[in-house]
Amino acid sequence: MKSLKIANLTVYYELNPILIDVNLEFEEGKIYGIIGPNGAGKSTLFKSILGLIKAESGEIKFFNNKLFKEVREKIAYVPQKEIVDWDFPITVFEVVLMGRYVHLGLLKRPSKEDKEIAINALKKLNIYHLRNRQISELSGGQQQRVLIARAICQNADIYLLDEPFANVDVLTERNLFEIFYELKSNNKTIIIIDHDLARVKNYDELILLNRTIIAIGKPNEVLTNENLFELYSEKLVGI
Amino acid sequence: MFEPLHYQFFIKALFTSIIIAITSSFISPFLISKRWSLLGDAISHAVLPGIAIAYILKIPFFIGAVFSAILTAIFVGFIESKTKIKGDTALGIGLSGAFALGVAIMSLIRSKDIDLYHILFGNVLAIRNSDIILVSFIAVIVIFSIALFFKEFVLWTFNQTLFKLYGFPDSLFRYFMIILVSISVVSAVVAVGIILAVALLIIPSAIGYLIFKRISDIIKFGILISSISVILGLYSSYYLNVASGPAIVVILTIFFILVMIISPKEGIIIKILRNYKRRKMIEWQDKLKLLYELSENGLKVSDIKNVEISKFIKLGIVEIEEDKIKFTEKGKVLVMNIIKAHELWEAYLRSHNVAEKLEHYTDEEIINVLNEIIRGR
Repeated sequence: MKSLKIANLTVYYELNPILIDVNLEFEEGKIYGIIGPNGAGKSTLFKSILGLIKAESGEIKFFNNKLFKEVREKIAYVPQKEIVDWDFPITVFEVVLMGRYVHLGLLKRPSKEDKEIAINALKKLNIYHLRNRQISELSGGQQQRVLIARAICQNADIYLLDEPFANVDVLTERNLFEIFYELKSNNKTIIIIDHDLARVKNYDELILLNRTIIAIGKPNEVLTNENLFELYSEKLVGI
Repeated sequence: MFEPLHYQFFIKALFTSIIIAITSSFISPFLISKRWSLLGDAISHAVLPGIAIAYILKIPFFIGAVFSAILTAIFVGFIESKTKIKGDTALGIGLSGAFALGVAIMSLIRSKDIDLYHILFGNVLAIRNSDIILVSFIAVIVIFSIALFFKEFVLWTFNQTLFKLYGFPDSLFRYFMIILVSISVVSAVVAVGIILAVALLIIPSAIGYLIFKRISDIIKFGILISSISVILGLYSSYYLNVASGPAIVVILTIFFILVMIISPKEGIIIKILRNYKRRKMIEWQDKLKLLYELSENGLKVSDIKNVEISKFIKLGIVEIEEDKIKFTEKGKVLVMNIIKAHELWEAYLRSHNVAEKLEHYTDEEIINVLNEIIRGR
């Protein structure tokens, strides 16, 4: 079943078009990878999906024609690690527990059940032993695990991850993929922005994005010389 | 000790300052985490035009002050969101602009009823009953609001994007916070002057920030340390005849410096201690390796001069058999870990010297990762 449909999406930043006529459909139980050069609009695409940026035109619908605000608890977002304030006085457990807040709304405090869900997410990401640490005391890989644990704790159906493998070690990367495969087998939709072509074989579908969709399909079908040239050509011209 | 308590002005000063200290402690961890510390400063200066205009219109100072404070805060937020100018610069513009406007209006009306020196430096020992009522009333509002919306304020301060995504009203909470800061700072300024008001808003939480890892603990600690400073400051003011407001601020600053030196989280002493321990550990591991090499070569105890073997024997790392050094199982595991780390680093980086350094900082997780990488080559 389709979990997310994007039709004719165009987004401007001031007078510059960042995304031009993007059409995409995402299905349940699949892992999608989005690759493209810097400034290709990858993060902008996520922000449009999440309603953080206003689109010039186009439509974004979830599941059966629902808008983001009708299904926000079903959509988890893992931002780039760099935009989180890691000096904030808060413990690992408290950050992960925040994944439950979307279900709670105003004024309600997390219940015992919420806390158990958070503990399970911590265990799944192998960071249970770090639960009482302040987030400033973590390594880069551990920080990434915390953000993903928070998304898992939300118990969403669609996961949007912006560069989850940036600056993480080999073991963390493998561990994260195991978790993504498990989510996939539970019929979740996982969409990952990546920058490394070496990893693309792990994705069910690969989306080549440079302001508009250049190609979409199985990794080995999509990664032709022609497509790659088109994807990175601006850069090549720059050289 | 109890002598000052016979004076009503002293009790009033003590009570009011502690109430302000408690109120500020509830707000300030959020300001510091949000990097909004200057907002309190800006708001405290922005009261001036409000007070001057309130005097002309013959309305209570507090109302005029809150009005101009909130107006300035909104102006600052407007600059920040609509232009490329960053928050700190925007605050600087709002702060100096509003303050200058206030001084200008005051110089125009030349009133003897508003004393600029009094507003700036305050006089804790001349607090009026109306100030006490105002400060207490604001304290109830602020503490109740923060306690009720604690979860929301923490999330909002930590990550605004997430706050929005989760469907919480982002700009509503922004104005909520600005209003809470404004009313608490303004009531504090009217009662005790700008300098003490700003100090109580920033320093106690800054100290807590160095020690604690959660906002709730920083609040509790802020209440404690600022109340202690108020008491110490007022007493020293009474006995040593120093100005009371500055005395409190100086004591708070001394506490900050002390904690900076001894804090278990980031203190200077703990860093020196950690460095010392690290050096000792490296020395110890190097001796362990040396001893292992010697024992592999079948050296006798009597040949070894510069390593104290008795220590290693006590720890159950080596045994002596017929005057020869033998590593126990436990000892072998320890030394092999270091040797293994060295081999892996050398294989990975192809440098013996670097491996010699890194072997001391390599835990099991790093060994696994290195293994993985080298096998993948």
